[in-house]
Amino acid sequence: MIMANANKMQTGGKQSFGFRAKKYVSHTWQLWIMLIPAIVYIFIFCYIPMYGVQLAFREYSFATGITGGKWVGFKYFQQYFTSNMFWPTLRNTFVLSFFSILVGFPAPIILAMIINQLRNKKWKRVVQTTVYIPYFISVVVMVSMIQVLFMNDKGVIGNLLKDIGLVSQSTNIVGSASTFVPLYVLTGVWQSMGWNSIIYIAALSSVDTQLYDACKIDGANRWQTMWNIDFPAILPTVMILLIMNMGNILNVGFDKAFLMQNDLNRSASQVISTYVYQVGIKSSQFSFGTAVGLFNTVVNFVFLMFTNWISKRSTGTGLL
Amino acid sequence: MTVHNAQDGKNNPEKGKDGNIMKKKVLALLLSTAMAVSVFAGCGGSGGGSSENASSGSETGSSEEQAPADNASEDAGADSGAAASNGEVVKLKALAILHPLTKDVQEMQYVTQIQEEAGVEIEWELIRADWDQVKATRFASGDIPDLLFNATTNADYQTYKGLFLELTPYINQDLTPNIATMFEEEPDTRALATTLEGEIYGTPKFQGKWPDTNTVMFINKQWLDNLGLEMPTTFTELKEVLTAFKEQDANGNGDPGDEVPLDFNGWFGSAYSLPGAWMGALGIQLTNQARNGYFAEDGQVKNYAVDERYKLFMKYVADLYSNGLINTNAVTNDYSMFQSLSRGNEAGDAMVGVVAGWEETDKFGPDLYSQYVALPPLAYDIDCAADTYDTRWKHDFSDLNMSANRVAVSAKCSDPEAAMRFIDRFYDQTHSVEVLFGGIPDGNVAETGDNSYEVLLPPAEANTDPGTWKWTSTFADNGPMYIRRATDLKMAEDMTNAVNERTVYADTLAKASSEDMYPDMFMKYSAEDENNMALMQANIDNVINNQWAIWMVGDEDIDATWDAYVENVNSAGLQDVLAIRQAAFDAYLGK
Repeated sequence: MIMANANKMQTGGKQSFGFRAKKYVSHTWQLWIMLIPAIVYIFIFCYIPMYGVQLAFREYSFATGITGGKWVGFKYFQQYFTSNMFWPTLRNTFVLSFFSILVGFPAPIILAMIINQLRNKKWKRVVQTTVYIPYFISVVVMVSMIQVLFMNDKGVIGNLLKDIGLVSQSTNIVGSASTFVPLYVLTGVWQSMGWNSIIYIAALSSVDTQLYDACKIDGANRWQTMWNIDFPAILPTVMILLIMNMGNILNVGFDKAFLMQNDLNRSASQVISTYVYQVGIKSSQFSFGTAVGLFNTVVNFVFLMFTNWISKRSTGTGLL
Repeated sequence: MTVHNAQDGKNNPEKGKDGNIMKKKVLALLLSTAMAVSVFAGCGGSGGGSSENASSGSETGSSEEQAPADNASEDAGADSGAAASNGEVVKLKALAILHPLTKDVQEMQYVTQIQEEAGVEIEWELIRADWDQVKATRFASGDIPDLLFNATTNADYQTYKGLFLELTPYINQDLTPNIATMFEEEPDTRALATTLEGEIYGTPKFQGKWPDTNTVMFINKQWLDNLGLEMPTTFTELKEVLTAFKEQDANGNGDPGDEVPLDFNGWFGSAYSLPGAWMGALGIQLTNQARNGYFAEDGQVKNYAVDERYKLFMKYVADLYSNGLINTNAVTNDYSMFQSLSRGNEAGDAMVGVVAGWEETDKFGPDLYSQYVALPPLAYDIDCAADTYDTRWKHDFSDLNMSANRVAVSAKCSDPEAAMRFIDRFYDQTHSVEVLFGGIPDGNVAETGDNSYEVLLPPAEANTDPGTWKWTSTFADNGPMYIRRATDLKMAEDMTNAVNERTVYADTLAKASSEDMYPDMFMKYSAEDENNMALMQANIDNVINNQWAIWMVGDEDIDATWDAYVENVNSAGLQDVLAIRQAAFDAYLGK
C-alpha cells in the first residue's frame, strides 16, 4: 500500500518536494506507525548483526574480538572453494532444497484446492485440522519418529513400504544416501503441507461465489472450475510465496538434516549448514564458518532476485 | 579437535556419556541457529555474545573491557595474600562440567572440607550436558568464572588467548605442594600439562589404577556352550562362530532368528568399534583410543583409514555384514540403543553374541553378565597364515590414567593464590581418592590405614551398582586428582572385574613399544597448526566416516573404490595433517 502511495506521489508530482513530502506524511503516517515495530525489529536483529560479516574477511582472534582480527581478504572463501567439501555440500544443499520446493511447493496448493472443493463444512474442518496438526511436532520429535518408523527390520512404515514393493527389501531407509533425500522431502511435505495450505485456503475463500455460479451455468466440471477460477485466484499468492521460497533455496533446515545425519547417509546429508556447524562451531573456526555462511546468503540473494525478475516478466507479480 | 574429542570417552569409560548423540544434537541446535541457519552470516560472530550471556561486553571480545562478575570480588581479593593466614575466607566462582548422574558439588561433604582447608568459599555453577556446544560462545564472550573444572582443552588456550591464567608461577612446593609433587613423581603429567610455549594453563590428573586398555571384546560363553563351539582364535573361526549364532537358536528361547551375532558402536576412535578391537589383528598398534585413526609405527605417524591393512579389514567386515552377521542397525543406533540391546530383551534372553564394552556388569547388566567372557585377541588368517601379522591390542594406559585440563583458572581471577591453594587440595593423597570414588564423610570411601583406602559398596537402599554410585557421588574420572602409585586402594567389584577381564590381553598389550605409542594428548601444536588441522580433519572425517559404512553395507565395492577413496582423503589434507603430527611426535620423542 505504501508502495502504491509512493508511486502516486511520484507520478502526480509537479508540486515542490516539501509539499509532496508533507502530503505524503499526512496521508500515510498511521501506516508508518504501524510499521515501526517491524522496522525496529529488522534493524536490531538483521541490520546490526551484519557488522559481524566482516569476520568472514578477518582472521578471528579471541583477544581482539570480531572487529580486531587481521584482514585476510578472501582467504576463507578460497579455503572453502578449494576444499574437497565445496562441491558436495553445495550439491547436497541444492538437491535437498530443489526437491523440497519441487514437491513441497505444489502440494499445499493442490491440497487447498481440494479442501476448497469439499462442500460438507464439518468434514472440511476435520480434514483441515488433521492435515495441519503435524506442523506442530518439533523437528527433534519428528526425527525420532522417523528413526523409529523407518528403522531396519522393526520400522512399521518402512516395512510397509518394503512389503508393497516401493522400496527394495535390502534398503536401510534411515541409513542410505539414496533414500535420504526422498525421506527428508516427503516427511517434510507430510509435516508442513497442511499448515502451508492455510494461506491458499484463505485466498480461495475470498473468491466471489458468483464466479462459481457462472461456471456452473456454463457447464464447467470440477476440474475446469479449479483450473479457471481457483487457480487464477491464488496465482498472485503462489508467485509471491514461490519467490520467497526461492530466496531460501540454500537455506536447508539445519536441524532436520543434522538430526537425520549418520555415517551411512553422510554423502547426501552433509549440507552447507551442517558443515558450517561442524567446522565453524565445533572446531571453533569462526571466520571460516562465517565466510561459508555469507556465501550461502549471497547465493540465496541471487536466486531471489532471479526468480523475482522471471516472475515480473512472466506474470507481472513481484516483490520489488 | 582431536584433543576436544579426547575428553569424552576417556574420562568416562564406564558410562559413555558421549554416546547419547541424539541428545547432544538436540541442544546443539540452539547454538547453531546463531551461525548456521542465520540469514546473515554475521550472526556467527555476534552469537558469541547473544546466546549465552546477554550482559557481557562480548562484541569487542577484549578482555580488559569485560571483567563482568569479577569486579565484585576484586576488593575481597586485594589483600588475598593475607587472606588465608588471618582466616579470612576468599570468595570465588567455579564452573564444573559434571557427568549427568553426578549430584550437586555442594552436597559433596569432602569438597566442603577442601574449601575450608583452603580458606575459600566457592559459588558453583554446574553443567551436566552439552558443554561442547555452548563452550565456544561462552568463551568467546569472555564471561567465565574464576575456576573451570573439566571445561577446557589445549586448543582453547590458543583460541582464547588471554582468557586463562598461566599457572607456572603458582606451582611450587610452598603454594601447591601436591601438584608440585605430582610433577616430580610423574613427570609425564607435567609434560602433558605444558603447552608448546612451555606454559601451563590447566592442571592434569593422574589416577594410576586404571587398566591398560579401554576395550574388552566380550563373547557369550553360554551361547558357545549351547551350540558346542570352541572359543574362536582366528578371523575364520570367528566367522564360523558368528554364523552358528545366526543360524541356530543360540540363546535357547525357541526363536533361531532373534540373535544378533555381532554388534558395535561408532568407528574411528570409538572404544567399542570393530577397528578399535581388531585392527590390532593386522599388526596395527592402536594406542590411546586412536582418535580419527592416527597411530604410530616405527616412529612414523600414520592413519589406518588409508592403510592397506584397513582395506583387508574392511573386506572382512563387509563379508560378515553381507552374511547377516552384523547388527543391521549398528550404524544408525545411538549409544543408548547400543547399550540396551546388549542388556537383552524383555524376557531376559541375551540378544548379542560378540560385542565390545568396558566392563561386564556395566555392559550386560546384573542378569546377563555371567554369560559373557572376554574374547582373547584374534589372529588374522584370511587368505594367509594365522601368524602373518603380529597381533596387537589397543593400548590406552596414558589415556585412561592421565588427562590434562582438569582445572583452569581465569586470567581475571581476583585471587589466583587462593584459587591455586584450593585446587591443590584436590591433589592431596586422601582427597584424590575421594575425588575419584566419593568422600570419606559422605560414606563412599573408608580410610583403612595410613596410606590405604577401601571403596565402600553402595548402601542397599540406594539400589545401585558401584560404578553408577561412584558417578553419582563425586567428580569421579572427570575430577582433578593425583592417586599415588604407592596408595593401597581396595576397589569395588566392577573395577576388579575390569582389571581381571583384561588379563587375556596382557601379553598382547606388552608388545607395544615406546615407538608404537602415540599418546595424542602429549602432542603440542601451534595455534596456526591447530586451526589448519581442525579444518582439514573436519574434511577428512567427512570422507572416512562415510566410506566405511558404505563399504560395510556393500553399497560400494572396496577394491573398485579404494584408490579413489585414498585420493579423496589425501586431497582433504591428510598428508598435511600427518606432516604436522609427525613434527609434533618427533618433538615429543626427542624429549
